[in-house]
Amino acid sequence: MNVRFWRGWGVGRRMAVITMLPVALLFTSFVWYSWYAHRAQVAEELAERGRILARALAETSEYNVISGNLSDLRLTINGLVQSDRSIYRVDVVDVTGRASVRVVSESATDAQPHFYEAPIRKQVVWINLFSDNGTPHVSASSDSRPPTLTTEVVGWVRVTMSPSNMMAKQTDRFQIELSMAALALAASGILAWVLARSLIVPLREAIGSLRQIRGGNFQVNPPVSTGGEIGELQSSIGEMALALGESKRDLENKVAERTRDLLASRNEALRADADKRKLIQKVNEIIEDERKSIAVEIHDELNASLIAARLEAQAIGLLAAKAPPGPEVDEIRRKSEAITKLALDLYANGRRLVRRLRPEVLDMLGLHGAVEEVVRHYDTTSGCRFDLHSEGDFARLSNELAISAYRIVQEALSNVMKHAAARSAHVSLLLDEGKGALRIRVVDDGAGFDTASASEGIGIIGMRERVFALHGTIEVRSSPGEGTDVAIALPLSVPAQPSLITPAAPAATS
Amino acid sequence: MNRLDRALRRMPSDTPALASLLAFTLLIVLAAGAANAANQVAGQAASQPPVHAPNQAPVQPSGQVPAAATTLIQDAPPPAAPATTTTAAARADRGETQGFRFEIITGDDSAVTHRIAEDLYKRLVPTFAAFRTELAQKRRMLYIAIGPTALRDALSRRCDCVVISAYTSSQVWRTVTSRPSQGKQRRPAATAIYAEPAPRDQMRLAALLYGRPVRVGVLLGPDTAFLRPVLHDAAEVQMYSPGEDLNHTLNSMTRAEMLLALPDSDIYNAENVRNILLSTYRRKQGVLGFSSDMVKVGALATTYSEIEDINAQVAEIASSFVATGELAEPQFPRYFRTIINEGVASSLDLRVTDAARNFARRAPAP
Repeated sequence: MNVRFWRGWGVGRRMAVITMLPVALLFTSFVWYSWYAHRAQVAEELAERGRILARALAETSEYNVISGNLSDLRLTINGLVQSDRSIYRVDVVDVTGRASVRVVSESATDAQPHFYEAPIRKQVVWINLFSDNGTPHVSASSDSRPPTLTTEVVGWVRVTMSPSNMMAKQTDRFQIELSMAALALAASGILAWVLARSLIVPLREAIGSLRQIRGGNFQVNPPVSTGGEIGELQSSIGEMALALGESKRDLENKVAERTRDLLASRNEALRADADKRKLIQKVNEIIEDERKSIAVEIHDELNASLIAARLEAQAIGLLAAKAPPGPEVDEIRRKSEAITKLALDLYANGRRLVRRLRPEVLDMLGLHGAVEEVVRHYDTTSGCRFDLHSEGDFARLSNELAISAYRIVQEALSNVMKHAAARSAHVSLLLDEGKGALRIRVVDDGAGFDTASASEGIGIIGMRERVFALHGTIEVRSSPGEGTDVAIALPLSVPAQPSLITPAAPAATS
Repeated sequence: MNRLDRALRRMPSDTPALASLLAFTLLIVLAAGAANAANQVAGQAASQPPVHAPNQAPVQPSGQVPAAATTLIQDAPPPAAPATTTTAAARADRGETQGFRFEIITGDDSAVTHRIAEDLYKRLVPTFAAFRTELAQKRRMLYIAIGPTALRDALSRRCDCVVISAYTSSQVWRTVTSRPSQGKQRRPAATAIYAEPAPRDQMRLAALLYGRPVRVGVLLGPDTAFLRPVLHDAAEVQMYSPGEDLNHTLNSMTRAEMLLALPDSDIYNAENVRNILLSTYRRKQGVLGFSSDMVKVGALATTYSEIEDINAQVAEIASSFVATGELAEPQFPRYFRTIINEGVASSLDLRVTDAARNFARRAPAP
């Protein structure tokens, strides 16, 4: 059992207990004592009356017992017994214990278990009776009053008392006391209730006010309905609400001011961001254009020249074949074959360069084909296994987006080749029409790296920039020994320029 | 005893009466101190010259006097009493006795006894003053016995003497005097003044109380049966023998309106008195008691005699005896007064008259 069980009690309950507990204790003890006192009084009074009655009857019945005139005695005792309802029975017994007179009350109902006994003593008057005992017989009065002495006991008076009558009277008195005490208890209860209420009501109001304040309503002004600490509390709550209201207004003003500043800064940042994206896009465009023009130069000029040089060398070979054999002719033929071969190699290199600078496969095969081409190229030229998985119709992608995607895949695969030392790599292209995004994912089972500690290389930075320029997202997940997973999402359509937010209107003041 | 004698002799005194009184007082003091010894003191007129009044040695051996008893012996004093002188002279002619002397015998040492003895002494001294010049041995002794014990003491003395009994009831007197004397011892001549009131006076008082002649009942026991002839005419006599139920006897005395109580230890003893008083009261019978103490404890009324009354009567008898040589018959008190318990009287519906209240026979002034 919890010793401090009252801790969960409310003020009203505590107040009621504090007020009522002593009163209840007092009431209980008073009622108990009163009942005890009344009972004791009955017992004492009965004992006293019994003794006095026995003594008085013993005195009065002396003559009747001695003279044997018991009928007189019976009449006397009967009168007494019938007039006093608290007497149950009176017995007069002689010295031998034989009952001489017994009178039982007609009205008394119950009897005490014991009786009060008084001896009937024979009283002797010591006066000079002129006996032959030596003293002179003087008939004149002696100076002192002759003493009356008692000698032998001639019988006993036994009085049995009946407590019911006296008990009834005492019970009536007790009931009056009980009802008075109960009234006092009830009055105390009402007083306790009133007192408790006088505490609870202002406290509840104060709590309500505090709740309102907590809810943000500072416009509470609890009335000061009482004095003392409670009144002080009420007035303090009112003052606190006022002070809080004022400080809230101050804060709101400050916040509004800061918000305005922040919005301005944000708008500025947004503008700068947009400019940056435009710049990157522009740079990428320029690079692609430049690459394209270089590729065209190489393709149109260099490769045509190389084809012409091969054709010339083949012509030299043919001439040599027609010429008479000799060591010079053989030397010429060998040289022309060497030039032809060199020209072919250069042509092939030129073609490779053109392909890298300007992935015309993209124009011819689309994104899917170009990526397939590049994957196949890496798969065949390295010890690592590459595979591709793609979903969706990539034809409708914009050229810019397709080039960026292609370059991103190219860069990612280049990174795998250069750093991962992976045994296999998986590329997936997914056109999510529902969300309007192109998802690119390159996963390898290579060495991996700690994304938190390792500094990003140029490759990843370039990828980020491309993604950023297209308003896409890039996520690189890797840990040492666990391979690397690069996931990129590019929106199919460039989202509208984010609107510049104007600062909200300041909070309305009341 | 010698010491007292010497003290008395040395004592200067002008008047013999004062000297006697002093001697008597000293004597009481001494008697109180010596509880076991019997004191006998010769009351001397100390102022008298030794030649005229030789000291008298105590006439009794101390062993014969009862314990704590005092005997006053008077054999002197003075002032000339011419009347008795001639009587003494006449008496001297008859034999060897020439005059009288007296001795007061007491049986106890109580204050009442002392008062009686003192008063009596004063009353008797003048009577015997005439014989003071005679030799003590030649004077006849008159004993006055105060109370029953003193009476027995006086009667037991072997001498040619006379005893006057006072303060002894008729019943006890009769019991003592009827006892046969031991051996051939001659019993002294004796008379008595009974202690209880005279029945005749009581009857008159009863009539005064009721204002008419009343029927008076008397209970007589074996010791008081001798009074039956005296009372037979005046009262309803009911005999009672010891052992009977007293209440029954009282109940049978139905005709009597009053009960005349007479001293009788068989009937009226300390244990019975209250019962008798209550029984008679319940039957509306008044009790004429025999002492004022009895009236105080519940009897209706009585005539009674003060010590002075009895002493006056003793003095009269002594004086008469000294003068005539004739000893009066035993008699009831001559002088009396009346005491009435007014409470009892009103309870008995008696209207007490002044005649009853003042019913008395006063003794002449000494």
